[in-house]
Amino acid sequence: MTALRAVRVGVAAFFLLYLLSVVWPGGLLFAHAEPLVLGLPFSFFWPSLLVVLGFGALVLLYWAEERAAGGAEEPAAGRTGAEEGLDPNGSVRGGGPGRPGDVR
Amino acid sequence: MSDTLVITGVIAAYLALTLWVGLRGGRRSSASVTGYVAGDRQFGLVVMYFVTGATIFSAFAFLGGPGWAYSRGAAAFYILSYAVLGIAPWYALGPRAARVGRRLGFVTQAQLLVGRFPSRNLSALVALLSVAAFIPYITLQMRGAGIVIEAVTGGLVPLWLGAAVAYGIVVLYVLLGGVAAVGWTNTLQGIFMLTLAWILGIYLPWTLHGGVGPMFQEILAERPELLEVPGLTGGGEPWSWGAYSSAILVSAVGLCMWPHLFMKAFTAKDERTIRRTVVLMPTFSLFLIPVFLIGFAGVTVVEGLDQPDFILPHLILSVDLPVLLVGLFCAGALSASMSTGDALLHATASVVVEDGIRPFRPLSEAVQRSLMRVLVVVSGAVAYLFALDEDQSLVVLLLSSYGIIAQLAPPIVAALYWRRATTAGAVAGLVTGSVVTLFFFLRPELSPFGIHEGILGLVVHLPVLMAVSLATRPQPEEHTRRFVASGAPSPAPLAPR
Repeated sequence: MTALRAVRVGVAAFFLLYLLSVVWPGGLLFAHAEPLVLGLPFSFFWPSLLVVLGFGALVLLYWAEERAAGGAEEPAAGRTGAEEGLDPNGSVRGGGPGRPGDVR
Repeated sequence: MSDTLVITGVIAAYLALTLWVGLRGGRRSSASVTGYVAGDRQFGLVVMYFVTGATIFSAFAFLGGPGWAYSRGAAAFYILSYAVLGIAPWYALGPRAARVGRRLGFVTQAQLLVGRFPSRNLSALVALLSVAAFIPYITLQMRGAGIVIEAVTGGLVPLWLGAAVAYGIVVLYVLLGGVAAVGWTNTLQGIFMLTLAWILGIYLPWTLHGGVGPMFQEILAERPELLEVPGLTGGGEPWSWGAYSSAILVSAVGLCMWPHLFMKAFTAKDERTIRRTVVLMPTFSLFLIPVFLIGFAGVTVVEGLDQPDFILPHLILSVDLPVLLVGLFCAGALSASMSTGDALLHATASVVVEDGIRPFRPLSEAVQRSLMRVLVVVSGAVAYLFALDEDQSLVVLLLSSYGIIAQLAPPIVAALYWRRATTAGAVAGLVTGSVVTLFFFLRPELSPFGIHEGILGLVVHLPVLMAVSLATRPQPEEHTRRFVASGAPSPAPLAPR
């Protein structure tokens, strides 16, 4: 629980810093065109890098939450392989929390 | 001329495919109102990913993105920043809204609000604000579709006809299939958008400038001001930091509050699907990088284009691309426009019926469903009339609609997280916030530092919400408990209804 809490606080702090570094006045530090990084101006590279880091932060958070939730709820919601929503034979899946009675 | 015919043929084939997928997908949902509005709450991860992605990134991103990069340079980067900042809060908010919605049977955002803050007027107010924000947004998508079709068919199909055909198809599958049709077509459209953006974003700089690095070297030599944040205004003056920063803020706050996105929480199969969609969303957002590269590719090549939004079709037609690719591009841009447009049309109709009419007048399920269908056609027609008016400044309207939509954030967050919030507080906050937003929209010159009117609205909204709530009688504990979860942060397995 404490590890999960630490991750949550960390991820929230990351997104706060993310915001502060793209708006005034923090954004002033990253507003310059030079140097070019990977061919992109620094002002373009920075928000792009943040998108990638933001993805990383969310993955970390998801991983931590799943780990903390443990195996107890797995059978209820964990149909990883079959998450495509509607299956090919055209019927709405009846196994989930939906109401099979509504399907026609 | 034969090229034009090939392109037109590709577009026609694409539109036919969309229609077919839409009609097929739609057949699978149930005939109930929940089926029509919330897709029987059955969307899995892949569909949710593309639905959400394709819904967020509309014609505004696909045509407006390159247009902004081309004419306003670094100003466009604000879109890149808000896309992730706006979706991140949904990780916490979305599952909670879904849980409450499922338990209490809500299918729209206003129902959630009114469930917590019982007031028919609040419901009507939310419906009014939503529709006011929706119509210009739909109009923008239609114009986007029309522009693309007119440009690539060399005027063979004029804007009015292109927009009419593309949206005729959208209206048709939304009418027949509801949200399930929207889900399946958006999956198709999302794949198109992603693939084409990456191909063109790498190909155009390479063929026109010999690569991304050399392209920016050229821009740096000729137009260095374009590459400094916060970029330029539409008129070519330097944009202000106040405007740039508040554009990020208001869009980030407003993003998840768009009723058509918010309602996705109610279409998701389970909470884990919502969380996964949020986690994966930044990978979708990365497609803005090639989108901006396309715009930058035009900077040193195309001299002062009257309408920057035409830069993408303009470049496509000026470099020697295989005709088939041009046709596919067109389909991609149409995807961007139609995938947002269909969700918007569907949401407008749902919101008007569920939130604007039903609280005042009980309707049978069958009547609701037919009323929604009528409204899909009506709102499509209204937006189409606006789309024909060339003088509409749509981007201005769109940014203002973000200001309106952002006002829905405080009451929603309060409904789900703050026990002490009251109905009087929510209504008072929403009214004052909207009035302030409207005032600064009409008198932008009074806004300090060029700050977006929606942010100024929020600055007034929040204290009013809090002060009035604290000054009025608290809601009974057994009522608030159903909305504000106590203790246990990890989601329990979804209770069967």
